[in-house]
Amino acid sequence: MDKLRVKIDGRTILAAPGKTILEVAEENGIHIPTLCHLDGLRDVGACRLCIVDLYGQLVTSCTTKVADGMEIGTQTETVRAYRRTILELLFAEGNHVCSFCVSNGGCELQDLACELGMHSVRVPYTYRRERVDATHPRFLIDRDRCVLCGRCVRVCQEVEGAHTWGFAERGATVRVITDLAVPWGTAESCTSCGKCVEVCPTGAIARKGASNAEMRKHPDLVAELTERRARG
Amino acid sequence: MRNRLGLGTIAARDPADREPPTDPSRPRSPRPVKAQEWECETEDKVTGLIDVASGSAAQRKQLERVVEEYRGLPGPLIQVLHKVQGVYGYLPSDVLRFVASELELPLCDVRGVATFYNFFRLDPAGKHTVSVCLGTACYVKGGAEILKRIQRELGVEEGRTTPDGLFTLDTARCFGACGLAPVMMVDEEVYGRLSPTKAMRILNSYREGTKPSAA
Repeated sequence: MDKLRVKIDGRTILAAPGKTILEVAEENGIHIPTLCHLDGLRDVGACRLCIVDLYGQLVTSCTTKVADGMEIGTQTETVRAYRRTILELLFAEGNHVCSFCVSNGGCELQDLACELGMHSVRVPYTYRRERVDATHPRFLIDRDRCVLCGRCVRVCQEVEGAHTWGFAERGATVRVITDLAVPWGTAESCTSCGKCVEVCPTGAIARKGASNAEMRKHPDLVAELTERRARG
Repeated sequence: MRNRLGLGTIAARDPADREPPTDPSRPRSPRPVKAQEWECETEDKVTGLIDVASGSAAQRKQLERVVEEYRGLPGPLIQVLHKVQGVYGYLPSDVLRFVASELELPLCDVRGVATFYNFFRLDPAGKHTVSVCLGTACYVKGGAEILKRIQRELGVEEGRTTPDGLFTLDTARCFGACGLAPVMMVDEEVYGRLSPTKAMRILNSYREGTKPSAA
């Protein structure tokens, strides 16, 4: 199959057709920050952090396929400013207090803030007050730390096949729910497999018993699982 | 054990303690499953029946008819919920379970659709529906303050019903009565030139069973 010629950050790259901008960039050692993207899961472009400059337009690189002659900027001033703003909005929307969080030091949101140089939040915090759901015997969810990336929803649906996690409501009140928004411990479709815990990028879904900064996750297990399944 | 009792907020000091207890004689999920729940779940798949406690037998019949009508059609959920709400006046959670089971959809997706659209309500509407206008003219004239006062006095959020079942509180974007701003509508009656106090006086007379004359 003919390779496509694309230009990323001034570098000319030959790319296989059908790949996304993010895939091509990663294959060539060009780093694009991501949050909702996870190898092994379907891409949905939910977090908007992987935006790149494509002829002056901002598109999510995880859902945009490469085309011949594309000129893409992954680190332009505009792109970086937008990424930082998006991150600030994520921080302002929840209660992300790292020093009290189980995932402190192992949090993808925290890593992104460091990487993108977000040192302050310029919008007012919403101080959302969600209640912690600790009804499950092994896991808990603190929705104040949820960034609505939808990884738990997708892994539950695509990999585990249980369809326990879903989105409810809309706009500013959107949140993840289990079954008919019942307490997690009583959700009948949940198999307690724990994949949602491993893929959650923040401390929102965590193992019980983990204290401050003790939670470490293994989101890469999904890629390994899907790869092994494909191999049969 | 501590975790199962829901008391696991204090981190265990001993790392071995932190792992959930594994007992090979227990089922794979340590979640306590009531025998009845379990039977019910397996039974749905065989007989396709879920207990619906809400509503009358006649409503139950209509519910089954609606589901039958749309079974097998692509993307039936919104239409089914629409008709089912027509049957019950709202969407009781056991009815949502029934719909999910019959249409073979995940529970969370059914709940997601039912909460996404403003049209669907999850609890029964009250005797009177109070709609406070928040359109431009009413907003400028203090519609938001009226809403806030009503929310405080009735103790309910927008879209919910008071515990006594008397009022359902809603908001609207315009009744086409901007000349009377700020306005609210109780059932079919429009009340204009309101103040928070005046709005509460009107609702209180509804509470006493009298209907004040319109603006």
